[in-house]
Amino acid sequence: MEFMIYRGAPYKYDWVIDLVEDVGGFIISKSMQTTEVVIIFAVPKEDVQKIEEISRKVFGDLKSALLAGTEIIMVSPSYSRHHAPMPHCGIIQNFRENGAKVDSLAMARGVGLEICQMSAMEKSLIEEHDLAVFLFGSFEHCIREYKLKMIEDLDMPIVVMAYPPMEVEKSNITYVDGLTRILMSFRKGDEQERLNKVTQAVLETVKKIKEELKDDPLVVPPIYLKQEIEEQVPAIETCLSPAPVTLKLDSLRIKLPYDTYADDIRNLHILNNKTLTDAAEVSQSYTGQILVKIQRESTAGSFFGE
Amino acid sequence: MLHRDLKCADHKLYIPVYYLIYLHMEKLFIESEDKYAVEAYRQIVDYVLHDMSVKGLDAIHIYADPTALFFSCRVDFKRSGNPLKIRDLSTGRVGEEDVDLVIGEERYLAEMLRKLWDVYGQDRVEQSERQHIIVKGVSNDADVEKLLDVVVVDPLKSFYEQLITLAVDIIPVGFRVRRVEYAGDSVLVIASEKTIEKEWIDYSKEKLQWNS
Repeated sequence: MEFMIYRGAPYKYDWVIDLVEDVGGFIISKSMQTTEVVIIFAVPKEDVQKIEEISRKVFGDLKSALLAGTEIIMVSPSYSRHHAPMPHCGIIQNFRENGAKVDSLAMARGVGLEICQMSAMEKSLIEEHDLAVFLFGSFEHCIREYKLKMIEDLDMPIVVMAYPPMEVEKSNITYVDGLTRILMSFRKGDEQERLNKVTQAVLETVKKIKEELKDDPLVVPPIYLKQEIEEQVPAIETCLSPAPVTLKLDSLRIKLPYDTYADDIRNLHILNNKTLTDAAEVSQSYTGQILVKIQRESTAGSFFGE
Repeated sequence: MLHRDLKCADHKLYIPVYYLIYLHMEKLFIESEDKYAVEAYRQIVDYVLHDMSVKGLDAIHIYADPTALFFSCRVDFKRSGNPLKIRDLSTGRVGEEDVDLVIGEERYLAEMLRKLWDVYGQDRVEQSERQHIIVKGVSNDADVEKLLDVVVVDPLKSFYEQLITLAVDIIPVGFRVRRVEYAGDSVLVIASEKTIEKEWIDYSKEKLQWNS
């Protein structure tokens, strides 16, 4: 499967959607503003050329979405003028342009040297995502002694950006230097280069996770489960969120209340007369949504082989 | 006939996209043991100045010890603009028991009325027409002089506030306990995340050459 983003005018954009569905692809998200339609979709590799042809016909712009299907959380120490809207939102925008679903979090007490701390709530919120991106300051002493110690409990891939060039020994942390709370809008000079450095680090981390998944693959791809959920659970249309079913690398987030809809999700029919509980674990997220964690072939056995 | 050949356009005319917005501030002095922090703060200050557009700045001195729990910043400025008095904004016509102020500059009318209400009370100040304010009970020369010398707008006061906002934007977010000192043409802000100790104040004053 190849993930791609289509951007173009509303004129005949449905041709693209029809073709994607005809060749056996999946629409991940479709957002329509006044004069622009943005569609993120996945198609089989051999049919990419057909999509390119049709997008040229309707004067759209096609780009490969390198981060599609990942859920990233961007964490800033605060929402004060020092961090937001720039550079916090600029970095988020860059990930979104690459197709990722990005959540934004400003920590309650993330600032300062001795006073900085991460609460249990923030920790559990961050750990629900595939990847966390942290923005720290410009003093090496502060980062090494306080900030890296603050995030050392997190057991997940992390990208840390801060100003001083330094080496971090922990294996799950990728460190990117040259970016801190500078009020840059990422348009002039070397600003874009600095931002690309972060994007590259995120891409590499995602690639690493995907390679790990290849060794022990998931029983069903998350994108297939998403389609089944959208077909079989009509309540998903009542959800006002832009992405009611959010794709993650090895799981799904369904933005419906857990108490009401968890059983519906558990009894969902998937291929070969099986239900979703055979392939995945359903649990409650911190905010009361439904998390579906798909099992690996080593635990559940292959669904397609035998 | 004028013919413009696009192929022969002079490429030197195009303004390059890659230009640096650095060096807004020539007199920027940063002292720290961490050399990368000095570099980072140079950029932070440049971008903050670009964002805020404060006019009349002279120099910024910063002292930041990476291991200490305080951060100090001194902002110098060039004094410009005198305080605006009622004398500058209007002409006074002295009557028998009152003074009729004829307003020339309408921009500060609201501030002027508010100031007069504060000083004389609302019952003694009356705006009879658009450009006339009558102050009752002021007739002898000394009182009229006093009235004309009332300061309406002090640009320095708002400028001080702007400078402190600038310093707060430069100081790291975590340092929320602040001590501000004014002296002549400069402002000193010391910030920390704990109660500020006397030693820190003395030390940073020594480092930033603060004499008052």
